[in-house]
Amino acid sequence: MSGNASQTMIIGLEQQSIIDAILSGILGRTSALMVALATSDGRPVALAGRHDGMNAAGICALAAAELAASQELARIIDDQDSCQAILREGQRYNLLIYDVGRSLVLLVVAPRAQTIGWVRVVVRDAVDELHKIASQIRDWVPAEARRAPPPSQASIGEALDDIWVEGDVH
Amino acid sequence: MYINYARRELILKIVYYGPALSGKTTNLVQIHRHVDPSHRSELLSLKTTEDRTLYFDFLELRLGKIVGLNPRVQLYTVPGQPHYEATRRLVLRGADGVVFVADSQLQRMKDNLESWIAMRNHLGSYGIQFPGLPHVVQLNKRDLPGIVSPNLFRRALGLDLDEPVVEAVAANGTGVQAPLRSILEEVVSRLRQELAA
Repeated sequence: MSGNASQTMIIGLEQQSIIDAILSGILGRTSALMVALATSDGRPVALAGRHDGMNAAGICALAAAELAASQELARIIDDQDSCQAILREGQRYNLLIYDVGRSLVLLVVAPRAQTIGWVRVVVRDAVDELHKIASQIRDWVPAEARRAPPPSQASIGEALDDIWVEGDVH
Repeated sequence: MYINYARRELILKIVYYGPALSGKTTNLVQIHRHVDPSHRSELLSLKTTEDRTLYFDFLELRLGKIVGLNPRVQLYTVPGQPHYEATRRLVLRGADGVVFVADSQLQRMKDNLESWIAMRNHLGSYGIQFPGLPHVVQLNKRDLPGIVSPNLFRRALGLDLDEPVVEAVAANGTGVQAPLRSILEEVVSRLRQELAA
């Protein structure tokens, strides 16, 4: 959830490749079940690990919401910069949610057997790298964006009509 | 707005905003019912024990490929109850467009107006000067007695004639698709202008 609601974030091929490599690195070094990177308003950017059959969009929305709520709590108690990460210790998995430069959110689902301290060390390094990428994303529009314009008004409406079923689909 | 050219994705965030019990969640339930499961996520709801929205409802639609991009539309509702003001503000962050779900009954006009003003204030706190953000107003519950006319409603909220107002009975699915279609068209039009600039 970016500070400016109208800001457009565009990710190109090169940036995505770097992001994917960073997420794979986290996965390999922490034995995480899943690693997800989302925009701070909950849109999935990249996923690594086992996420087949999961509601990945929902997971990213919830991770971003969790972090946003935590940051809002910090703002209310006038402690804005103290909450950059959230840890949830579960029976089988630990969930870590990290703020990446206020524009991205990193979620790591690590097995309980893996020490949290080690996961934190690995994730903090990754967050620093992702932060650099996030800074570039804010200032850079890839060539792809100029070559391929977004859909037209009519086409997006027709695409909605195409998936809309009169009557109950259940 | 978010475009990922590596994944060929365009992801749009639309927020259903409005006073308590105006039918925001009902809109998402109806959209969920009318979209083929292969083109949508499950409806995710964070509710209180009284079955009222606590944080938000969430539904993602996956539209067919357009000019090489796969549009994904993420729909959120806000919690309507008055004490969730801070939560409503959070859900609005990053919104590409808003569907304002109003209750058509005359006795709910004050609630509609307060919610409308609060929404504008929240957007203002993110640097969005209304009506700069794409928006559509859905006048819901048109099947109930004692409802206001669309013209009166426009005057009460200070809406211009070019600001879309759609009449609906979301509980039976009437007028649910039209505001969604309208807001998507508005948002995409804005995106094209933004990239052309």
